Amino acid sequence: MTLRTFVIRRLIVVVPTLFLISIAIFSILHLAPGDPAQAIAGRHGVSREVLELVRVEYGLDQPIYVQYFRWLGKVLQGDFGFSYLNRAPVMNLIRPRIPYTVELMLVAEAVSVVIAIILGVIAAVKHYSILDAVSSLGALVGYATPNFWVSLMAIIFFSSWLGWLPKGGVGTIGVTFPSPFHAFLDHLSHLVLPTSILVLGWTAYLFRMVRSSMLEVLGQDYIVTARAKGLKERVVIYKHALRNALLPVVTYEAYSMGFLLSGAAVIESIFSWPGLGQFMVEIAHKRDYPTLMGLTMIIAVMVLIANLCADIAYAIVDPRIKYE
Amino acid sequence: MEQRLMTSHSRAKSKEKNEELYEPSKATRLFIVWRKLKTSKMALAGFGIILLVSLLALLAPVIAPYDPNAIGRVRVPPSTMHWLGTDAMGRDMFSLILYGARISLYVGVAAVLLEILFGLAIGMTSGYFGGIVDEILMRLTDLIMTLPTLPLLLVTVILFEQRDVNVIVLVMGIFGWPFMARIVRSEFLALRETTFVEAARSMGATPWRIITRHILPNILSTIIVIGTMDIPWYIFWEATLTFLGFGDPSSPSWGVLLWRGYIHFRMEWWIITFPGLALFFTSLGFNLFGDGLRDALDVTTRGR
Amino acid sequence: MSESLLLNINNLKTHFVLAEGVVQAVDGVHLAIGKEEVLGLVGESGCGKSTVALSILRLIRPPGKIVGGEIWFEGEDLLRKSEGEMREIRGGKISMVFQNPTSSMNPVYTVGSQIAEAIKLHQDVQKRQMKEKVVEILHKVGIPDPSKRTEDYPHEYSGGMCQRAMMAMALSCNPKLLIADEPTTNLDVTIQAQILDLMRTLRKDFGASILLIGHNLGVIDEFCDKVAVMYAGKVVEYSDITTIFKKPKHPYTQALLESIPRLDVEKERLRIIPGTVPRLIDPPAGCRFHPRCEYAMAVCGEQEPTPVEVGRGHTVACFLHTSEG
Repeated sequence: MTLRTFVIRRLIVVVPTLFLISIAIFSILHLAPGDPAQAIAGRHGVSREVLELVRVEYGLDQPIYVQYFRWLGKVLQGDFGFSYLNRAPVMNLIRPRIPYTVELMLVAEAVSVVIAIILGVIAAVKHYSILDAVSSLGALVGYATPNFWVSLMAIIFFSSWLGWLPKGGVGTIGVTFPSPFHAFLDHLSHLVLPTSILVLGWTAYLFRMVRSSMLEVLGQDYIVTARAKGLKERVVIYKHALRNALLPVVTYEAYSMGFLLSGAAVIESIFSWPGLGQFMVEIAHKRDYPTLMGLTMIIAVMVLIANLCADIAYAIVDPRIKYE
Repeated sequence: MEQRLMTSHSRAKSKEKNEELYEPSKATRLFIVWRKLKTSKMALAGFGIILLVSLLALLAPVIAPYDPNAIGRVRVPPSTMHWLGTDAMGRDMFSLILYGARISLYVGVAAVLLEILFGLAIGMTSGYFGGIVDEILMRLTDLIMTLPTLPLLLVTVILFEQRDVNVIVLVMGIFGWPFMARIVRSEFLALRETTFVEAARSMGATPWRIITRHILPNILSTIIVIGTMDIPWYIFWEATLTFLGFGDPSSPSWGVLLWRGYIHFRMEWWIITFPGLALFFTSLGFNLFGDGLRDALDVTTRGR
Repeated sequence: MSESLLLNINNLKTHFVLAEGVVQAVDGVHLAIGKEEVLGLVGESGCGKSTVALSILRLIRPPGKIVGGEIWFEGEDLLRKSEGEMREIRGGKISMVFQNPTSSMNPVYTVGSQIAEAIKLHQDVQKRQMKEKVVEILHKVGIPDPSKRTEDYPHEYSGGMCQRAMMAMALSCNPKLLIADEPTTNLDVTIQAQILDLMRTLRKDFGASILLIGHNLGVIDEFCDKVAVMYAGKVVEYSDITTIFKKPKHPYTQALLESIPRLDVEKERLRIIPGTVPRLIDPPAGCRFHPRCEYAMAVCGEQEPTPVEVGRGHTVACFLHTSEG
């Protein structure tokens, strides 16, 4: 099977999965207690006539599968519904928030990956050394720390007590900056804390993976062969061992997108970072169901795409996979 | 004469030594596990923490100096009257945290039990029936596993009217089974092909008997390790959900304490620090112990 | 001890430091291989044969450590060489093939590139000629359609072909000594025969000495000029192939030979050696074989026997023969 066939096959599988997800999301949110019309119109006192209007408008008087297909049709055209609460199309509410979440996650991701790989390789190569023991313990501690608590501690410490870093937001409001560079620096100062907290958790998680994968690879026969050929130890580690060790790590990273998004959601809320995560928490509180449906759908699509990319990347990188 | 005596003596001694190399009994195996755990100081420390937290939780009504709901002087810093201070409503932090331990432990264990229940059932069904059943179940498993946890939890929790800790436990348990199911299924499939299962089958054992007598005991260690390692996660997610405001505001759950502390925050660091520390230590304890347990039982868990 | 010796191992000791104690895996081993000679190293699993092999190339990693002895190769002691010098020797003057051919190659690189890697390390070959050289060596080891096969990955090779490829890699730089650590153990019997044939041809073509490690006496018989028998980290007997099989002097060797089923001799029961191999953390005092030996005497439990010559080029480490020779 060639790479192209593999990709096409994989893409084909995505379609029914998306379908299933949409059904799941739709059904779950329609299990919500109470009258959907009421929920859509908002929790304020609404008259019976308005409720009827809403019902007809949203086709809530139709059987459920008709409603589903209407919704699905709209979604496929990019219309994720209308939020009565916020008085705007869902897509408009979501779109400006995407770059913020992406920024946060990308930066944190990049830093975590670099640190985790460097430390993980060193720890595995110097197995049983002090460095190994300390970093492993550190990783365990980082892994066990509740991220929201550390965020709060960090805010108290760095922001309230030391005043070094801002409490939240993406930039200081009501200030004009002398230059775009200054504005950028200001933005950076707001990025530091939330990113650091994310990095703490993710690095711990990744480090363990890299280290154990590396340890496993270093015990393989082909590593002995590589040494027996007369290769320098550095070449053995980076060319032969690391390449194999990173394979499972790469896929696992991509599959953990969902997990990592959740972490980001909490951090965003605490640091008032205007991303998707914070938005989700906000609308969950307000019980804005239509928006919630749309948002969950979008997030699900994002995760699926990430998984697809992971699968493809893995197939490219591991010669054994193509021949399934 | 003397020569021969010496020979048989030295031969007898080495015979004893050689006996050690033979297959140990179940009791010996347990002993080896216990010994391995003992040598890992980390695992022991973890176990100690778990024990401490459990004791504190259990004895909360006895130990707590105040009723957790009793209102007193507000925002008192840690002092002799209130070891960990009081919160914005004047409730004693120490007592609150003690009662919170009960909630956390309950959540962790209950959710894991649910996870094991569903995971076992689905994993075994998938492995046993194979074919289309397996396909469907595994697709479902993959789906749930890759969906982001928090959104999933959020969406389901708000469906319920009540803000009860049991709601959270239920939701977490319902979405927690995929990982367990996958592992159970793969172990099941591997074990099914073993010779001893084949032997049992050829002797006419019913599938039920094979499953309960032969396969389950061997999956047990994996289940125990995964379960133990999942407890801190459930505690964490419950705390996260309640911290974000989706919990029962009157409960002493650590997440709620942090939520209340966050909302009413002025400068009282103790309201936030101590519940968080409690969370941290409990999580650390379970993780340390779980790690050690995994090494001692020699379990390979791909992922997490 | 003469110039015709290619490799001379003198009192090699390699230990492994574990939490439970120190494993004396190789404890005072003496071995010699002449030029263009094939030495078989036989023994049960765990007797230290592979450790000897890895020690020669100084591939022993922590918690293992070579703690004593000398390994003379081309007039120099390998144990005194620097790591850089050893790297030149590995794959160049001394090569090794291993027991699990399929897992001995890196799965993410093509076979051709891995062989080229070996060549590049020890020879000055232009990029353009590299592919030719690789194809040539693959052809020599009997891989069909070699120019296409260089682009394949190890998982596309069968077990036998993997071993051939490994040999290609090992021989690509014309080593003086090839160490083959149980090269056929994990292969089918028919493939085993093929690989042995290949080794025979290669020995002739390349003129290399071979240290063949194994526990299958039949394989050893086919192929070797001399044999050394190891038990529990020590060499207990050493001689040429015919003497070992016809006149074994050490009780262990005798027992080994007697436990082989034979078609030409009537045997009611196969001889088994009672007991099991000792744990090398706490080896028995004196001769390590004495607890299982039917001829054990008092002295065997007290002192370790030193190797004595009992015939021309025939040494045994056993108190039964100390008075002789």
